[in-house]
Amino acid sequence: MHEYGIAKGIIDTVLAEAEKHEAKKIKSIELLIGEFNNIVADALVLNVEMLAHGTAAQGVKLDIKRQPLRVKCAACGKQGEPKEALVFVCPFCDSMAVEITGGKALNIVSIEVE
Amino acid sequence: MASLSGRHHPKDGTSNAMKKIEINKDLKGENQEYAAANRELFLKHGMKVVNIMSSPGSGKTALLEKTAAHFQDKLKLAVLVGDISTNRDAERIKLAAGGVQSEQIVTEKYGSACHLDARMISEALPRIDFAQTDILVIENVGNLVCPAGLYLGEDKRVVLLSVPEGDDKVKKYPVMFREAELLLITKMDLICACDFDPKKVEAEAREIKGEIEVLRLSAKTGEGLAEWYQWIDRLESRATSYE
Repeated sequence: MHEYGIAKGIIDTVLAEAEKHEAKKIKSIELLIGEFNNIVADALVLNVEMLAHGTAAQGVKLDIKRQPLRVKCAACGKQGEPKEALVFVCPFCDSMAVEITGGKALNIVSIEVE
Repeated sequence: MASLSGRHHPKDGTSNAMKKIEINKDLKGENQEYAAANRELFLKHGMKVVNIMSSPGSGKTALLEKTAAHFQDKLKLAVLVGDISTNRDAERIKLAAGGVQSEQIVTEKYGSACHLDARMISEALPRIDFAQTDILVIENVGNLVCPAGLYLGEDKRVVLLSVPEGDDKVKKYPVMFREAELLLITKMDLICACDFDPKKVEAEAREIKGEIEVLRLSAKTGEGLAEWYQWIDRLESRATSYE
């Protein structure tokens, strides 16, 4: 269900863009998805396929680029990626006093059309 | 906005041209715009706003029934309740405290969304009398996943975890707990019947968010409610907005 709303946003946006550029077919969609959004790629693909059915985006390929979670440590001042997914701990000094500095993106980067 | 950078891929001798269109659209952008507008309204009218989130059945409405009754003559509380279907929860809160403004957002209108977003709040706000509101409590749709990612314009976020849900949930839903300022462990009256270690929950919540406050309570027996009411009483506006 989490992925459905996002898939709906993606499909609505790309169909509008394709129409604006008078494209007949959307071949692929490039997405940038931050790890913090906790999105299951398979579920997103399934929802996009379902929503794309019968539209100019039918059969579209998703090119999902993942944006890793990055934290800035208040204790040692370094920035990096936590060792475990969605565990908000500094990878250098194990401090939990971290600020999230990356991994929240949820962007449609581009589409390929013909 | 979008720009067109042409790329030619003649296929099988046909003249079909593949083109790449740069979009660079933030899918959360629209929600953020509504949230910023909501926030502006809240600040203008001096209202403080709390977003309450948890899984279904963890006691959000029971807590709000008690809370609305407690504050009835003390401060002006308004409640917006989100559910996929029915007005039951808004009616329950009205019954518990006659004068309280309690309005339902039914997400059936919005594709049966499993969360509230800032646009739904924006469209429900005309039903709230701002002059009669010091604190607006938003009871989100029961769900530990989706509501966490959507900022509504609120000052604080509260997450409930009830004893029967189990003490393993904090690490299973880390984003929700990372985004909250206060964790309420609810249904403490059932602690004898459940293998639930509140100390483990507190420790895991602090691993995810060092400065999270934790209260243990039971809307049924009244345990911990005084501390919760104090927390509401000393609510302050948030200096920065959520991303």
